[in-house]
Amino acid sequence: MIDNSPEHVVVVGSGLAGLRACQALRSRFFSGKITLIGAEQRLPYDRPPLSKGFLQGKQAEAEIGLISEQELADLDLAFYRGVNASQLDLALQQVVLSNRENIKFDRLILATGSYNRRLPIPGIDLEGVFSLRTLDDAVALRATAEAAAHIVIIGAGFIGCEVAASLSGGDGHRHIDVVEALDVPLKHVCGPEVGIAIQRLHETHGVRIFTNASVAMLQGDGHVERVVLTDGRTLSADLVIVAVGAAPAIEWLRDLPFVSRAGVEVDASLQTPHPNVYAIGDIARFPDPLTGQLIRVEHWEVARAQGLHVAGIITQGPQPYRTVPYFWSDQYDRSFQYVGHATQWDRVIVRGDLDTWDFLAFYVYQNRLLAILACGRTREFRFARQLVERQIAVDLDALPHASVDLRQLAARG
Amino acid sequence: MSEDFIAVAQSKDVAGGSLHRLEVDGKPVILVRVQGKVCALAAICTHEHADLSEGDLEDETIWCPLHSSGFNVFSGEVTSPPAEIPLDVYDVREGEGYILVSRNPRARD
Repeated sequence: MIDNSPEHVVVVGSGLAGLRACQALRSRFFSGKITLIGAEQRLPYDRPPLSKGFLQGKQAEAEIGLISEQELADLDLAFYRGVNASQLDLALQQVVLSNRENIKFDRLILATGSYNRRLPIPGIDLEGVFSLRTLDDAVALRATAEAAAHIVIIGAGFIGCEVAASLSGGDGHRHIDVVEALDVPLKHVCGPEVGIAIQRLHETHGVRIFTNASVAMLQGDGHVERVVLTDGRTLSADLVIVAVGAAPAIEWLRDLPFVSRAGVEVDASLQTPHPNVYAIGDIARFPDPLTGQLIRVEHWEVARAQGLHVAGIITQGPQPYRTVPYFWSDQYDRSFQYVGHATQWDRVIVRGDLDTWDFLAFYVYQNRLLAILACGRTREFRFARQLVERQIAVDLDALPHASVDLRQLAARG
Repeated sequence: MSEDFIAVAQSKDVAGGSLHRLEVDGKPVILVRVQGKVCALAAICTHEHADLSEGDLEDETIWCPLHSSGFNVFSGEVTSPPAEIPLDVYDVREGEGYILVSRNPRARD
């Protein structure tokens, strides 16, 4: 039986998921001890602006905090800053920290997030080569980018695309090239039709995207000067940003039976096979509320919602997490929104116009609507997302027709 | 108290169902009339700074035009994420054909 009144909850990871879990425990009147362990020295902050508003200089550090000193004090946490967890002992129910302290727990929430994949190529340690994960990364990148004339971004995923868009404004004296291994950017997320539309959006803003391209090495005398592709082409570069994806930060958990490279496996109540241990956010492999398949989602809204949800489970007992994943991405003056989680599809139905970046794309597998990506069209997206979230049966062939009112379709469910 | 209110619009100009943007002491505010009652709220989404006057009003909800956050017009509370922080709400008085809005937002608990 699960004891419903734990005395000590330990949260590993002080990003959005872990912090919101702590806050929700307190707002649900959990009065026991909470220990929060964070790898960074900084107070928890919001990451989405790092590739957008913050990088563009529109938002300052003070504007992207997730909590103030006073709010943090009011939570009455034992907060370890700049400390990593290095070992989890399930038998003793304790976490070993990088400072060699042992912390015993009644409940443990794993929320360690992601780390950026590295690119093991010659020249990767040259000056002027950055990646973007932390606020410290973003501060350094923003300062360097101001004077950069030739920027090369490696990877045209969402982070690479957002960074390209954020840095592209200004006087036009700055060249931005993006190197992408796939034949179409974001193809595995959005499909080729939408991926090509996104590529065109960047090209319209003067950003070059090199597809089917891989980087062989970076060259320079101390500081990066060139990016050499595997086909021999060379791109000038005084700033390189490596954005080749992320992986769950779970190396310290690798010996546990429910942990693999794919993440930390949890049930619908975000619980690992060990009844007192939960995983949330980027690292959690949880059952998709629509398909039941185990999925892992590296997006803000999932981290936030799972942080809130796990607090409810700890204070009130198991309850399935049913929120359908959602994320957004802002590039130039376009806002993309996505609901659902389609890992494969056999049909993409487009409503609207890809050429003017004003559309909804419906991802269908075996006649089942799994996900929708919107570019613009926020109002229609609001109705359309209900078709996914509530799995409302619709005539798929009707979706492209402007005369079909999505609001009415949603209201039928 | 009345000196803390300023006239911002004529009643006839604020019809039901539409969003009106204006400034109160330099702060962007939207006026909406819902169920006959005029509400005044901060005009900038608490999530990513979008202008809510370009969004949609539907029943009691204002929807952000950027990422679909929803806010209740009476309380300012978030009804749909990704926003997490409520909108500031301003007290409103209406009479003699004019709409008056408090210069300062209502305090939150």
